[in-house]
Amino acid sequence: MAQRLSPLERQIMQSLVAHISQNEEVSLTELAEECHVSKSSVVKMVQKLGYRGFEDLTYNVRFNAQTSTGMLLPRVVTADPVDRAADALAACLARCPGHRNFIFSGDRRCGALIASYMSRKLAMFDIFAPPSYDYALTVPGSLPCGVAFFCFHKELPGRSLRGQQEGYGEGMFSAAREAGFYTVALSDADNRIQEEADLLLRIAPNEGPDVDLYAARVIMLFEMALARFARRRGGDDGSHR
Amino acid sequence: MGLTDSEKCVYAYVRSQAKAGKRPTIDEVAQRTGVARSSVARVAKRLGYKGWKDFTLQLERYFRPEEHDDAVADSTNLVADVLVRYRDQPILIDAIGDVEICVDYLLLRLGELGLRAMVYGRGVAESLASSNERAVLLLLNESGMALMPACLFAAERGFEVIAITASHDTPISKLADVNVVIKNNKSNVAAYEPNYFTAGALSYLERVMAAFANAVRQRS
Repeated sequence: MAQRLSPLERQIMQSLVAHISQNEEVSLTELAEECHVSKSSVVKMVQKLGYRGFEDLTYNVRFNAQTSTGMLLPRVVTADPVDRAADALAACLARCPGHRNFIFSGDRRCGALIASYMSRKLAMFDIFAPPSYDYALTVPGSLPCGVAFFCFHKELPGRSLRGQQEGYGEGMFSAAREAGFYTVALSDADNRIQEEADLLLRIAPNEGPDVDLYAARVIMLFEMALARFARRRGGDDGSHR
Repeated sequence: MGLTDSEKCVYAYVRSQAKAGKRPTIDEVAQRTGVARSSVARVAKRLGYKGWKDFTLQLERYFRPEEHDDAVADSTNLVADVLVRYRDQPILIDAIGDVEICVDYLLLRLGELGLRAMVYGRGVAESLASSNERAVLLLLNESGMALMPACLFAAERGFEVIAITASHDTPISKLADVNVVIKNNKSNVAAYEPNYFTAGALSYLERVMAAFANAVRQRS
């Protein structure tokens, strides 16, 4: 069967391509409204391109985007199965709302970067967890103690913090535990204190001396956990209605 | 060179097939896209390929999984080469959004490697330009839009621009001398999906730094 696109279908396709090229998510309804056509016209055009339907097309676009990034990203994120680690971190995020939380940001190399990233993203989910190395955060205030996140990283040779990490973050970690915080350690190091964390998530070690993917791995795990947390929260919201 | 809508349509179809490891024929593309056979055939040359075979073969090869590591290595080596050229000149850094954490990362990492990294600011760029100093601007901006003023300002003063964005098709990536694309995954909070743009940028930059260190070692 000839799969010719009509001028109208080409116009739909052009709008779709414009969204895809800008990395914008577009729904079937939005695209139909934008092109002033019915949803079935959009689906018909998408099927002519060889997809089963609109969902099939968006899935493929998303999948291709992820595989492209996959060339760069570390293949192994955690030392333990990553799904289990992401579920555990998502469960910790569920403990955060309505509590005083913080993300330890003691060093400029990794802790401060990751803490800044996590704090910014969590705020989008109405979770407030400032990056901090200030002991004042561990003093109970008007909000009950929530979750305290710590990054423990083993520096590679030639990096600024190499050889300066003994005892790093331990004081704040102990203070948080004593104050009643639920402590989470994201670690590729082998320090003693992390074993006392309520949740220890072991990040996969670096494979060589030249490329440090610790921060990338922690951020990937955090992103996976955020998605799980959002799903869980969406489910909770639905059950309350 | 701008492509017509039909040409874009042909390119999109061939690209989608190449991603699936297929090399479509001219007849197949004409049927699927509704573009006349003669116009389909012309697209390959319009895009700078030798012919249809070259066009489909190169795209299909590009998307082969085993070619990806090479493609990443080519890209990181290219950026590392720019850093080698600017070894004694200022490297300005600017980033916005989730990926802005890369500014602090780069200040430290480039400094460790003996490079003159500094945060971009209009005043900084003006000061460098007034002293006729060459500089390169490294921009990280997922949308490829928000840092357009910095990009323009630097380009107008003759600075080289390396852009890391989430699409080839953004104002910044079109203007940059070296354009690196790291795919993102935007979603809303209610139906959040993991976005690995920043993780990808950090991984990419680590590889660039390793390539730079390697290039410097080889030269010495």
